Amino acid sequence: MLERRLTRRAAVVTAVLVPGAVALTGCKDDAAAGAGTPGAVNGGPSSSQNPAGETPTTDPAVVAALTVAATQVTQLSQLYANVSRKFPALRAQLAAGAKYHASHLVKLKETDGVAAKAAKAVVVPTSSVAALTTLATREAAAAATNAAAAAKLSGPPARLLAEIAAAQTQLSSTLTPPKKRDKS
Amino acid sequence: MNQVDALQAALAGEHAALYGVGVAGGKLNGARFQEATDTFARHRDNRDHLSALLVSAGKTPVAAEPAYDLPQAVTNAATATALVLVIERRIAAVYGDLIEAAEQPAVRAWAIEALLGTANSQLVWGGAPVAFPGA
Repeated sequence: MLERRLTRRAAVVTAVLVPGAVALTGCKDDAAAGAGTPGAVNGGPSSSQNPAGETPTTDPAVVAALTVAATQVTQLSQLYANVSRKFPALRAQLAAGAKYHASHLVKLKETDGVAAKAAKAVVVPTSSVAALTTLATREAAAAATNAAAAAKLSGPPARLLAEIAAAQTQLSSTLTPPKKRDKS
Repeated sequence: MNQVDALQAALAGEHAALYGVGVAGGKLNGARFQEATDTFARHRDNRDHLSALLVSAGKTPVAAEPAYDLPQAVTNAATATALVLVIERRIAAVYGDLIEAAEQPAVRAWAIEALLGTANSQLVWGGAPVAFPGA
C-alpha cells in the first residue's frame, strides 16, 4: 500500500514538471519544465518568418495597442529619470521600476512597426512624497490601460500587455507612500 | 496549447495552490493567517470559476491530486510564507499561458484579472516587483 502511494506521488511529481500542470514543484526557470509557453513572449507576433520566407504583416490593431503601451512606458521612464534627478535619495527605490520599464520597451519594440510616440513630459512635484504618489498613480493608470488593451488582443501580444500591466500594478503598490507619510 | 488545455492546466495549478496554501496556513497566525485565509479564498474562487468554464465547454475538469510534494519543507512561519510566495509566482506563469491561449474574450479578461491578483499577492507574501509577472 505504501509502495503504491509512493508510486502515485512519483507520478504526481512527474505531472507537476509538465508545463503548467501544477504550480507547486515545477521549476519555471527550467525551460524543460516549461512553466510558460515556449517563445510566448520572446517571439513578437510578426518577428518570425513563415516557411516560405515571407514576412507576415502585423495586425494594425496589435501595432496600435503596443505603440500606445510603448509611448506610455517611455513617458513613465522619463518621469522615473526626472524624479531620480530631482530627488537623488529616491534613486535606489526607483531603480527597479526604471529598469523594468526599459525591459518593457525593448519587448514591445520587438514587434514590427511599434515605436514610442513623443509624449508630453509629466511635471515632477515639489516634494518627494508627492513625486512617489504621482509615479504610483501613473503606474496604476498605465496598468489599467494595458490590462484593458490586453483583453482586446489575443495570443502573445495579449500576454505581453497583461504581464506589463501586472508589473505596473506591483510597482504602483510598492511606490505608494505609506499613509502616515502622506499626511506629513 | 489551446484554451481548454490552458484552462485545465490553470485548474490543476489552483488545486495545487489550495493544497500548498492550506499547508502553509497551518504554520501561520495573526495577520499572516488572515492573509493566508484570503489567499486561500481567492484560489478557491479561481478554482471554481475554472471548473465552471470547463463544464460549460463540455469538458471534465481535472481533479485534484490527493497530495502534492512541496518544493520545500514547511516547518515555521518563515518557510510557510516562502512557500506561498513560490506558489503565487508559479501560478502567475500558468495564467500567462491562459491569457495567451484564450480564445474567448471573457476567458482572456478573467485570466488577466487573475494574473493581476496573483501579482499583487506576491507583494503581500514578501515578493518584490518583477519585470514580467507571468512570463
